Amino acid sequence: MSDWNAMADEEFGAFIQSFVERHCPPELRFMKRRVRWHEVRGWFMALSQAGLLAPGWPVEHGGMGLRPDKHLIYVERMEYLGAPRLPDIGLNSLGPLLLKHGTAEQRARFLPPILTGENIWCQGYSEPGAGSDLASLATRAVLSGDDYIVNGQKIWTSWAPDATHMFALVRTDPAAKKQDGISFLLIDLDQPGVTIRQITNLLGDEDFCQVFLDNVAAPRSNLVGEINKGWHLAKTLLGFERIWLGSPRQARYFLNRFRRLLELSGQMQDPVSLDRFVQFEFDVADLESAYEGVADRVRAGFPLGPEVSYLKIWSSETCRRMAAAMMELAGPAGERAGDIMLEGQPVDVVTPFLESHAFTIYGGSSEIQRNILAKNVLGLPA
Amino acid sequence: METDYQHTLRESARRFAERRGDMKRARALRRQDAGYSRELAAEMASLGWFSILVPEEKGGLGLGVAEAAIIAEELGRKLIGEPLVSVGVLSAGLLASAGAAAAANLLPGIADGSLLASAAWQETAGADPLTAKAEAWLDGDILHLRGRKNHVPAAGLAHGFIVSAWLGGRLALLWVPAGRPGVVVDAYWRVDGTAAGAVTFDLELGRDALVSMDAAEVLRESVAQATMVCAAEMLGVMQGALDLTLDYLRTREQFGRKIGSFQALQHRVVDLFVQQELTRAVLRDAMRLLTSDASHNDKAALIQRLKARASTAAIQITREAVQMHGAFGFTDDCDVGLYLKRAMVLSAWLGNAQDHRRARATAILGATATQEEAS
Repeated sequence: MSDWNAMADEEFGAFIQSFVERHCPPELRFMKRRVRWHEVRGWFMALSQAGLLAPGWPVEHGGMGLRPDKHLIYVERMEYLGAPRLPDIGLNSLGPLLLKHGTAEQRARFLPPILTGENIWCQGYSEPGAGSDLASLATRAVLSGDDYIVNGQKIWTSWAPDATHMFALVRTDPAAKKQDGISFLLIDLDQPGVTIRQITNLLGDEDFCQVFLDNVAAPRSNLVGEINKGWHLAKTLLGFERIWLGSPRQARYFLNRFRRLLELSGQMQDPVSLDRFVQFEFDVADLESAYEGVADRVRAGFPLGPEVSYLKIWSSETCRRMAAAMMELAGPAGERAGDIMLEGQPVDVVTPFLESHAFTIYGGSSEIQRNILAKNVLGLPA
Repeated sequence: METDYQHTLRESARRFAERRGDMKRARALRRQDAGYSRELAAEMASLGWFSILVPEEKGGLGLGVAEAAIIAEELGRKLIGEPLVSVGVLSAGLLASAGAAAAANLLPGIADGSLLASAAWQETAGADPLTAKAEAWLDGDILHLRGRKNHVPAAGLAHGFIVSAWLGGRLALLWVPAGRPGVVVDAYWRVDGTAAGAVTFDLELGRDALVSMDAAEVLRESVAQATMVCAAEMLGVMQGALDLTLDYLRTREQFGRKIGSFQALQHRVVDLFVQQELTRAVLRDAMRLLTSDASHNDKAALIQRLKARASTAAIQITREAVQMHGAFGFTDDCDVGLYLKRAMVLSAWLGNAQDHRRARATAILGATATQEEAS
């Protein structure tokens, strides 16, 4: 076990890079779509066995104990190398929550199986009637003897088909003010009464699901934190991880595709197209400047303030603008599903265009992000 | 993150601006004399702010562009930036870097604010000093100068001009005292009420007018520095306008509620905040890069991006500020109009967003052509 934090940044980055190059199958790198568990399990276990799976967890719980500056390097290097997204909800969401708010018994019961891959977690928050207004959720949990009996449904649940467990926000006091009647409950999905329906998105992928819960049981000991205090618990969940939502990685990737399209379609010399490209180049580089400014504060140990929302707005909306411009550049070829061939090279303008719709919706829609900034940063009245 | 010294400097510039900034006076000074307060300029000079870039051994503060940017930003918030960038950064920077005795003699006057020296380098749009066409040639001991310069700050009031002209195949700098026959100023008012002009030169000077024989690099660097500090002033201007707007949204009531509670306005003003923060982030990067030994090309590319963002943001924010103040925003009485006009002037000067995008496009095509040749 190494003291990662004592390593020089470059040495640490090189170590991560070399591990990925040695252990991550090439076909998993830079995948366009989200992987399934059976595809990524080998890579997951390689990281697990090397003790490299949980960069943010304390060492005594099997993590790497990385400080924010090294943690940033870890994630950025993985992204740079195109390492696939792991089923990481247990690693990045539930684990830190149990570390902060769980009982010792809950940590002993639930943390190790996250690291071994025995338990795969999904997040049960949104419902058909509760999206941006999550606090209005209606999935009900009623105590009956030693178990909570849960009835309702969750939606937009990623990883559900592969998941063994779900952590959910459930309503335990319908009489209270909406944020004060919600509890945080851990649910074993391996029981009758759990029905999972996959949802097809605009790209034709089945990335997320609807999860129906009919008289599903969860023991009392699966309640995290106090009863009816789940909303406030869930809000403390995200530390500096919120910075990822505004990461420039996606925008830089779109910009590279835009440039490639310009070159292959011979429009690099066209002043109008070139001017649009330069505007986007500036927009993405300015985002990178902004992201680094925020990352610097994280590295220096400052907490992430609400202003970080502006990164998500700018990055997701810049991607949308670029996707639309690429579509225009493609002209009549923009009607084709899949790749178009330009100078013998495959170019896909449809995927980024369709995909970009999700960026301004997930992780707090652009509208919600603006509400947050207006209220918490600009001090505007309700 | 700022050093303690920079933080202290910022605080003192902010206090100065808050105490001495006065919109009523600013309105009254428009289209009068230089269009800015000479008294305030003298105070700024006495604080050493016109000699930030002048080395200590030449009597200056011996600081850098980052410090100049910090001061400019704070002054910009209260619209008292003039003539820090044009005289205190561009003129002072040129003379401090020129090295000649002629330049050294002029520096004390710049530093104490008594010498209004205007840089006459620009001829066409854009920010490349090398596109100048003005010419100088030596005939024995007589130095001839011929050319026409545009966008010269305070041209009708300057005591003298630092003029760029091609001499013997190299871009030289000359000092031309104002009021000489052969120096014809075509003065005009800028939209914010400050003075500028075009200047035609057709005269003879002594050899001692030569400030630098080979100033291309010095010019490019000084123009880049001035552009960065101008962008910093624009950040201040946009912040001032945004603050006025937020105040208005929080206090103005219509339909029984504060207009800042309307979501449509909340969302639009958040977009202004985003532009402001992007500007701040790029400025921060520029402050670091310009004080490093990065290549000229890298610095130039960052300045293009910075001025483009600052121009876009300042114009968008000040225009929206007018809109959000309703009919009152369209009056001369409302301060936001002053911010809008200052944004217009600073956006146009030293290259607006389109100018810099074009420069970047040219650089990309140039690089692509070079790659193609190489392969």
